Amino acid sequence: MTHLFLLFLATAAFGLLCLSRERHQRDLAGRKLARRATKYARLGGFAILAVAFLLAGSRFGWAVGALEWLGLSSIGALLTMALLARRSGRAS
Amino acid sequence: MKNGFRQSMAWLHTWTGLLLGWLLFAIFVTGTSSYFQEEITAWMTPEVRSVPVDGPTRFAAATRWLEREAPGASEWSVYSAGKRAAGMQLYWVNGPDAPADAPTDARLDGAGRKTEARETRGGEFLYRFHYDLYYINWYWARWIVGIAAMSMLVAILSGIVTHKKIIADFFLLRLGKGQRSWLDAHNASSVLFLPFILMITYTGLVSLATHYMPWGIAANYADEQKFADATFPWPAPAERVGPAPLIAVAPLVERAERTWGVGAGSVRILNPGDRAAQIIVSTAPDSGMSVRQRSLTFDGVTGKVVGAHNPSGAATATEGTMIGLHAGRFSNGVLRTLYFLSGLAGCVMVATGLILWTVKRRAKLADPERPHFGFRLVEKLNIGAIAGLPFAMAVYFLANRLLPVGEAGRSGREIAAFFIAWGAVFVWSAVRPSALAWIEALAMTAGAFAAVPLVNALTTDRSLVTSLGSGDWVFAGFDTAMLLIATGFGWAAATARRRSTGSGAAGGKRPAKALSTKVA
Amino acid sequence: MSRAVEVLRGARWRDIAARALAAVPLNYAVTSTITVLIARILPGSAQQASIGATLLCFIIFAGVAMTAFAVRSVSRLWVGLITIGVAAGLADWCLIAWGGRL
Repeated sequence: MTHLFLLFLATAAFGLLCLSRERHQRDLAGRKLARRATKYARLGGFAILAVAFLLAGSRFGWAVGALEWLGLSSIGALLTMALLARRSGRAS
Repeated sequence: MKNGFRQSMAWLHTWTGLLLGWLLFAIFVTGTSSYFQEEITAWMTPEVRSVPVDGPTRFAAATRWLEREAPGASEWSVYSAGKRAAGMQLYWVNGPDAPADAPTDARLDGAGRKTEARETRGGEFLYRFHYDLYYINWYWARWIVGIAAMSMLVAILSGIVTHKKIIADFFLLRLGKGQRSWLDAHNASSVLFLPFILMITYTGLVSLATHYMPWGIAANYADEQKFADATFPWPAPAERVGPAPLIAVAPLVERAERTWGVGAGSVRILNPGDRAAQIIVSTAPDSGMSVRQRSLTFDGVTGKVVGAHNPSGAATATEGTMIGLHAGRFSNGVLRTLYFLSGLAGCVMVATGLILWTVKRRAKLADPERPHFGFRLVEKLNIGAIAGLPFAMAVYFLANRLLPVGEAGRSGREIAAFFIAWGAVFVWSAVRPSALAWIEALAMTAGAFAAVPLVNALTTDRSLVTSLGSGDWVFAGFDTAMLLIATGFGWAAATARRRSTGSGAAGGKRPAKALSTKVA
Repeated sequence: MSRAVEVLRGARWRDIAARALAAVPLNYAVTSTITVLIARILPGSAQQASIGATLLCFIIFAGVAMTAFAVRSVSRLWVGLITIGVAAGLADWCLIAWGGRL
């Protein structure tokens, strides 16, 4: 179930990265975040992506792991985008 | 001048994307389906119920079959498609005294029995189509596909350059806002999957590199054959010396697999039954990322190693890995599914781009009731390509079940059904008003895909219910995928209908989200 | 439609045609000469150099194609590309004449 966990990590990471963008904060978090929270969200997002990469590489070998990491990252970003679209639709 | 540069790249992006877009959509859809071509072929040959057997045993079984059926041949070849296709493909070169029409190939199941299955090209037709097309000589087809691929590469690079807010708009997906929604969908599918899309396009060109650029070889080789011999050694059978029994093949395959640490994918036997016999064992397609396989050559009588081929060199490794990344034969399970999903994203990217072109220009039409010829042409071609090709694939699967099984030439008729169905959608789109043609074509496609599991249940004993019950994941997965795709197209048709009867105004079309997930 | 607009429309089409010719057939010729040059000068075996040069040719072609539509002056584009092509071609000829081929 490492695959599922990696997908969760990727989605969480992109969720944080999305949160770190000011224009999306109102839709995602309900309010604009403080500068520090924004910074932590961005750092956290990248950190989780790095962790996911290391996990994938160590479990599946670096070649296959890197490919899976890229693919799951795309899916994670897509899921985040879908969530944002849903919430911004509701808000407006 | 920054603005001029971005503008010129935007212009280039539009034209390289549009002119070859319809062909690129076909290449992306059939190419994406190729990641499951073995599964498609398995579904299209329901008579075959194969049990996977491990490497050495199945090659031994194939050799025994060849000893019985093609004893006088000068060479035998046995290919296995790895763990996903349990059968084996056999080829042989008949000896001089065999009749001219004697068979030269056969398909065996994992246990070494000849499979009796309906004649079909299966998933391999779709795979070959994506670079060899059909009805066109392969030489020109590959040039056409190559031009499309280079167009794609330029479209991608110019698209990146021209996308001003590629980071700022990364997560943006505004639905229900007409042109902006289509643009967001186009951006989403391309930016979020950019690593895959860049890779697949460049490696696609690399896969047929020497077809387009033979001069790199000509630069160093006056005799092209010397390059081929160095890069793709293909030993030919030596002079026959005198009869001698062929050594058992299974232990040799085992030894080779132990030496490499990966599975064997093919066994080639030269001069079987002669003292000059040689057995060449090669690695399997799913043994590593590079498509360049390793091989070990054994003496066919004594079993001693007499040669080895290990592709080496940075350029060879790079090229082999690039082609390997494109074909993805090394991948299994999750990674293969990711390949497929990324391919779908590529299909969505091309489709939304084509539709975006019409949506943008519809807003600028002088007379929306009478668009100029270019606009009408693009709109009709869009319908024929985006709805027509998937419809053709569904009809291909239906034809596989509905055409009589024993008939000769049925594989050609399945393919003809594919093209007739595709052509029919183009004709329908030409004679109907475009808005209606979209709804009708999408609905027809949904219906055709929904019919596939139904017809499967009526014509075979491997229906979705049976497959789920017996744990037959290939058949269950295929039928389920058909239903999912049908749902997607049905949703798209319903959305198109709602948009056309609802707002009806120019530019008021919501992007059919289902198009983005189920265009395959 | 005024004469001025007609002239401008014609000029635009000629501009696009000139760039397209540079971006496709001229590009192919120039990229080929550059590919041959890379194949001759890459270190390592002839086989590896040939493969390596071929791998690179597609990004070169794409780059030249984009340049053909990005630069302001079409005449400078043609002069530049032809110069590069002739120079590379000359270098190719010399290298092959001196070094020979397999």
